[in-house]
Amino acid sequence: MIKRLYSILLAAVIISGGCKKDFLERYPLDAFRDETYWTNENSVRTFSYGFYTNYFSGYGTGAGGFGRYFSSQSLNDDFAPTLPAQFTRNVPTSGGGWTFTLVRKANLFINRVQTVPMEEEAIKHWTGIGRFFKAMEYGNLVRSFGDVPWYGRELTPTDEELYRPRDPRNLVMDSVFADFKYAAANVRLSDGNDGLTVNRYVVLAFMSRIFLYEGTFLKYHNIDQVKSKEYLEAALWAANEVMKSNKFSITDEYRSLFNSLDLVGKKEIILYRKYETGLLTHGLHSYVNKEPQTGASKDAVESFLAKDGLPISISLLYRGDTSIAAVMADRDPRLTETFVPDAIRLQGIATNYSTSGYAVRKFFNEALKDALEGNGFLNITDAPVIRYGEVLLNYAEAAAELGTLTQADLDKSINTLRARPGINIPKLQIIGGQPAVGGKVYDDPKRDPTVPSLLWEIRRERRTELMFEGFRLDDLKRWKKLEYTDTQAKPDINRGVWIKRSNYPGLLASIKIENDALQGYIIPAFNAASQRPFVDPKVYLDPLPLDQIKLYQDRGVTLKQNVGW
Amino acid sequence: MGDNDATPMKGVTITNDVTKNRTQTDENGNFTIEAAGGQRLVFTYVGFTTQDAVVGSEATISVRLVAMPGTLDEVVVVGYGTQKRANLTGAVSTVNVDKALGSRPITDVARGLQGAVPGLTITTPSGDIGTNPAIRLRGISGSLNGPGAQPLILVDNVELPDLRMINPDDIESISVLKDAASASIYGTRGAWGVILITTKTGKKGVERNRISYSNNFAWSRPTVVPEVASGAEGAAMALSAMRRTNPNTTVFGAVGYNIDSIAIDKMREWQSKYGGQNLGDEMEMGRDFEIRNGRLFFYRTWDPNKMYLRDWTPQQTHNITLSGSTAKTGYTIGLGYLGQKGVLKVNPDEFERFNVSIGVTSSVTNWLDARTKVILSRATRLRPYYFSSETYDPWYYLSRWPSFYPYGTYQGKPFRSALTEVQQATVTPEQNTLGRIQIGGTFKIAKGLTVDADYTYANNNGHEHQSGGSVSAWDFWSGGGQLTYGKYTSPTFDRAIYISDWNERNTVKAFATYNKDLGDHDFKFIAGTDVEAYLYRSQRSERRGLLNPDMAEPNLATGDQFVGSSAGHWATLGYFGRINYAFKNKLLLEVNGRYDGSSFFPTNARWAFFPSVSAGYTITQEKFMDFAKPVLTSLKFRGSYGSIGNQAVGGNRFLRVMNTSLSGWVIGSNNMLTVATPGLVSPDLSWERVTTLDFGADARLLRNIGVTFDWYRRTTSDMLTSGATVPSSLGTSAPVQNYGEMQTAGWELAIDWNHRFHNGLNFNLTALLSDFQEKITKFANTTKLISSNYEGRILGEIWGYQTDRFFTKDDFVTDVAGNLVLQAGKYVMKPEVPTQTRWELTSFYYGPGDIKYKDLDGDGKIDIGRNTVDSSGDQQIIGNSTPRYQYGLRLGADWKGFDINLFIQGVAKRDFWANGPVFIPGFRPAEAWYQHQLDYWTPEKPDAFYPRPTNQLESNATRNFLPQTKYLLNMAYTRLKNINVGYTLPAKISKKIKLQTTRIYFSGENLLTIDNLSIPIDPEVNYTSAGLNDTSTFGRVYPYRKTFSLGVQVTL
Repeated sequence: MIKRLYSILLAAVIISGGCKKDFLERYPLDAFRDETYWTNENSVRTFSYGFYTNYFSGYGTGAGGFGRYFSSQSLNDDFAPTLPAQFTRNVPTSGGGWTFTLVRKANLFINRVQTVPMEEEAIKHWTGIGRFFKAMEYGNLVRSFGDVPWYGRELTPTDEELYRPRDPRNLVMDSVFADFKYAAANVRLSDGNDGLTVNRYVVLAFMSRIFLYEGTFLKYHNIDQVKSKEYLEAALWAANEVMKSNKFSITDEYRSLFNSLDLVGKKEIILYRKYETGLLTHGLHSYVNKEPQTGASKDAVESFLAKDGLPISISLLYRGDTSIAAVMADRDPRLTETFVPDAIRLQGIATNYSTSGYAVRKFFNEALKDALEGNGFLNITDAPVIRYGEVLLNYAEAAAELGTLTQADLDKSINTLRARPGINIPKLQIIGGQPAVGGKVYDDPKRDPTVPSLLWEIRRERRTELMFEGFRLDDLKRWKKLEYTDTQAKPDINRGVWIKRSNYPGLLASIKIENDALQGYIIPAFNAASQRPFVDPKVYLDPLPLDQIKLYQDRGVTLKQNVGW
Repeated sequence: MGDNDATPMKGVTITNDVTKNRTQTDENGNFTIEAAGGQRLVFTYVGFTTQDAVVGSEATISVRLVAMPGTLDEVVVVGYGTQKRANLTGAVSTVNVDKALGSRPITDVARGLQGAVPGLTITTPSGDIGTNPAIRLRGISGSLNGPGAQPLILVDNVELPDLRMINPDDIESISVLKDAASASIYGTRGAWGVILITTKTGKKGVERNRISYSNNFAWSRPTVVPEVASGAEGAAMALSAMRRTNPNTTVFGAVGYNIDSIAIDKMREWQSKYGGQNLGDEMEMGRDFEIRNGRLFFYRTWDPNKMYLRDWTPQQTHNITLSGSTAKTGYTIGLGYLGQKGVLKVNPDEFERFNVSIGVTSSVTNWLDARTKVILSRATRLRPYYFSSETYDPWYYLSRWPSFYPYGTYQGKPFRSALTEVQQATVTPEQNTLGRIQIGGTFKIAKGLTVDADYTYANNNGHEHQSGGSVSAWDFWSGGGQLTYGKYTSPTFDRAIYISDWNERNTVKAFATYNKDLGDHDFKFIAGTDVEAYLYRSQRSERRGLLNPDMAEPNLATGDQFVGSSAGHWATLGYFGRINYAFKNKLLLEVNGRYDGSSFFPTNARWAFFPSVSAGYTITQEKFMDFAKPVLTSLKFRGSYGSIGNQAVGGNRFLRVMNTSLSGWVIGSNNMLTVATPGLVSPDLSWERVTTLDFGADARLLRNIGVTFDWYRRTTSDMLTSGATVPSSLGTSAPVQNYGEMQTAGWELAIDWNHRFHNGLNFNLTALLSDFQEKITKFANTTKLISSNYEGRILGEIWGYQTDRFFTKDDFVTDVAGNLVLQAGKYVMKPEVPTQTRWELTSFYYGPGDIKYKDLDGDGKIDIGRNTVDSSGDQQIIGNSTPRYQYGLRLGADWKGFDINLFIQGVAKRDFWANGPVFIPGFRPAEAWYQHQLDYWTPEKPDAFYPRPTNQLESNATRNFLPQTKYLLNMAYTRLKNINVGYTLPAKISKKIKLQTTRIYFSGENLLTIDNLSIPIDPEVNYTSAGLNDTSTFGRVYPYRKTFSLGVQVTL
């Protein structure tokens, strides 16, 4: 009996010996916890990379679109697809972009940064980074929805604030302004890896973009002229801060900004996204290399100036459009940098055809034509995220909208772009408030009569310099010019190259020439059912999802739907 | 007189059928009875099949009785002990191991259990070899958290989550503990029931040594594979679909091939000229394909299935069991081998498994029995390296492209295809090794009091070694009409990868049992503890740029290198107690209590107490029931109620965890690491409580019919769900709380019947039927979006529309000539026809031949309302994907050495709204259309099954294929799972070849299937786990197979 008890006792001792006091306390082995993560600047930096691709998409990744470039804004007047993208028709039941995930991420980040043991300077810098990303997010939300609730802290599930009604967009943008101002004052001038990490110039460049948007939106939608001025001044200031720094210049060859394997050291690049074989690749290069593409409209091609700096409608250099050689001859070299200058690519004749015949080559690198990295989704050309050229355009436009634009302003902005190596077209001048070239005032007869002549030229400069970089739809929205995208009212945006069918025996029968004539412009979207009418101004703002409205309603609170939806 | 093992049986009743004289066997199994020649003796014993023998002239008659499973004296393995079936009060099913697993060409235990236990749902989403079936007990989900209603699988009382690692031949018994009262003693991890498996182990006591050997050779072939439509027919459908949205489409294509009307004619021409001829693999430019206007067109038809799939894939198993015993020690040694070849013809996949199990039991002293058990199992799976991904495996590609896709060669070189990739792939071995050692003993402390303690260490290692490489072919995909031969795979595949994972499980179980029999009152007490700790780690290392592709080792490569890892651990600790009380074997009571702690919960809510109780009343033990005796031999009512804590709620639910991931932002040559935003957690999170109420009855009728019925309701309360629906403004999902509740209600019926006819024909039947439904009874979702969970939702429900009919010309405005009027390119619907404009997006407008949905709410438009339960527009619940009325029917007979067994298994009701091109014609119009989709609407064929071809935009919820009644898949089936015919050589002949017993058999699986499917898929397929990443893979999975096999079983 004693032996039995001994052995049982022994077993019991062994068992209990194996049990530590905190036996059931097991924290994750392969993930951090909020409570223990925020220990040093490196952890803060690591967290911050989680924001980057939300705002700095570059050329996107893999098959997932091309970031902001090319197809991201397929709804505009630059593209002439066979099936034009349509405006939103239905109010979504849920989702629809109404999300505050990144607002929370930024608020949480700002809050945690304060607790991290590091230098005061570092805390300020990273607070600035947090506020910058928060401002970027609110900039996007306001652009989509107009009024949105503004949150300055991480919410809890029982917070009354959750049901906060939408704040007027001015109020929200004032906070965005404050965030940008803080960031512009506190974010480091350089945080290492210039061009790949957010520094003060990145903040300022985006500030000019966002406040140009807001300033012009408030102005043209006649929401608040006082605020409009304030925001345009902010855009001007931010752009000028970048310009004043003399850190950037327009000295790179135009297309090298878009087709280089490495953008490091490019004087114009403020921030870029880097691609590397095996790490991160995109598909935009392939798209303009060997794949069929959505082409550009006649309207887009015609927006480029002639070499003498005059619009084609009045330039004596313009040779018409009955051949591609004529279209491309003696034009603003940005035209031939953006488009394939010596060939039209039509279905039946080229496999990498374009719907309009005009094919884009802005992103094309000849050396990669047959390389593995030039095809499929294996492209490794780096993508500009924000470049100095845009800042200059933001500056010029803000000044013009404020009515303060001087020749000096033009010389340091638009004329700097025109003086780019390889571009070299005459300066834009102001004479008596009117645009002029070579001392001669001109007025584009094809101008939208509601847009003043000088502003028309500034907008043209923006359109042609930034073509396919993802700005056009936003620009039309803020100028209240979505009517430009109506394929019926604006036939030129649904026209491609001019051809004589007999010259192209291989041309597919389905490629339509206007009015089914033997010669004329190609009509990419000829189907009546495929047209895109612009009828309802409600599309200037996105609809809020139904489920959110219902949730507020259940709570006795009204979440106001945007007008017209 | 002896049982199966020839152990003498005491107390067998022998009746002379004529004189009605009776006697019983003594301790040694001997008996004496008077009988005249020609008279029949009937041998009966409870729990054994009744036998009879006609007396001849001999003086001695030997009879061997066969135990009858399911009968009252059957000893059933239950939690921490055994129990006579007659005294069971919980819902416990046992499996007739011999019938469910024996003589079947199955690769693992789980596949054998399908249809063998009422309430157990076993599914395999594809026919892939070496994969683990999903096992669910009493429900599918159980809770909205965790992996579903997965029962705890215990092999010799210790968890073994992967049943593939155990040899079916080593198994001695299987019990399934279904209600809370029976499973609760296993606590926390047994919330969804327990499958208790015991393996063969040495039995001491009888001096005997035995060797048995069995084998099985099987050949299988796919049951059904999707058949791609002929080149011309498929292309014609595709063209017509493309012209819906763009009437002027003349040419289009995908990945470099093109379709236009000339090509369709040329395909027809090719077919009539060369169809059926053997032209060899070499393709001729001009005849089989051509480049026209800078485009590639292919005309020749291929059958990749034929080129790719074996007609018969072989499989073999061999098992040897050595067992022996002395008075004090017994042992068994089991050795098993399974070799399975895959369906691929080139570079075939393979699965192989070796098992060793050793069990020893010995009486060390008169107060200590020691035991040990060792299991070692190694499984190897060989697969060609995938240049695509797990989701888009070769099966996906095999039927992805139209049948003109070039599977041949040009100038002796192959074209880019999945087949080429498999051909040129290296073979990737995946190896899993499980080692487990168990040591323990039973201490006899005093009369009736024993203490059992066991410690088990289990270690599982998985290793995968991938050696990538490259593929060279005519790459017409990105060539743009050019044929370029060369390497087309990304250089990133040129790499060596090691993936390893390993886990360790330490389990201690110790308990004391005390039996006390006080005449009419029989008590049994158990008290004990169990401790379990689990740790896993994994790592992946990769290096690119192999110096020599044949030597794929990271240290023999020069390129970029990548590493990754994961790790985790958990622990549980529990104390339990049980009291069994029986009064005159009539009134039975069992009370359980368990106090559980788990590392899955925060300190303040870590421990919880879970009680359960069950009771039984054997009414036939009452005198007043004697009148029913001739018919109703026994009837017992059971009831149980109890709860168990569920910890399987997902890891780290109470922690603000920040997982790392790659940010997609490259600096230098690093894709920068980032960490996720921590979510919100509720600090007082605790256990989910799974409470089961079970009522059951066990009856035996006449002598040989058994009926068992159970009704249950299982409530998962305190279920982790968000406590309230929060608006998006929170910026994250609401933290989960113990808020939701879900109920599973179901019933299970089992009937067995067993009869031996006078001529020696033995017949048996087992029939099982069960059903359940799962319903969310508490859930915070005030919007009640039908796409989300809500209170009252029955799991698996499918919302959709009623299909009315095809639109006809009469639904649209026509001009005087009777032609359809087009307005801005659109057909004009007559005003009285409900509009479907909501679904007319991106240049698609409904017209004749399209689906007309029913306007149920009569508002003149087909829409979704607010897409909520209360405002669902014209949507309603049209079906449910939960399998209903699952059944199994086993019929067996044997006669004079011949035996035959049929096993039929099925599901009576199940609906499914699938995804992907096999299900949705026109899912991606430029890719394959299938043979079965040819029955489509044209003005000449208005009664076709499918609507007018349409580009479905890769969606199963738009245009003509919104979820709807007409195309809802009926996944019900009845399947002859197994047929087994055997012959046991007469003992005399066996002895001549020095064998004790010899049986040869034929066994076939899935030989016959009855279903009602409109598309060519096996009714058992589902989304595979990798396929869930892209459900368009549906139906294009590793094929299900039917199997024919032969085998021998001998005992030396």
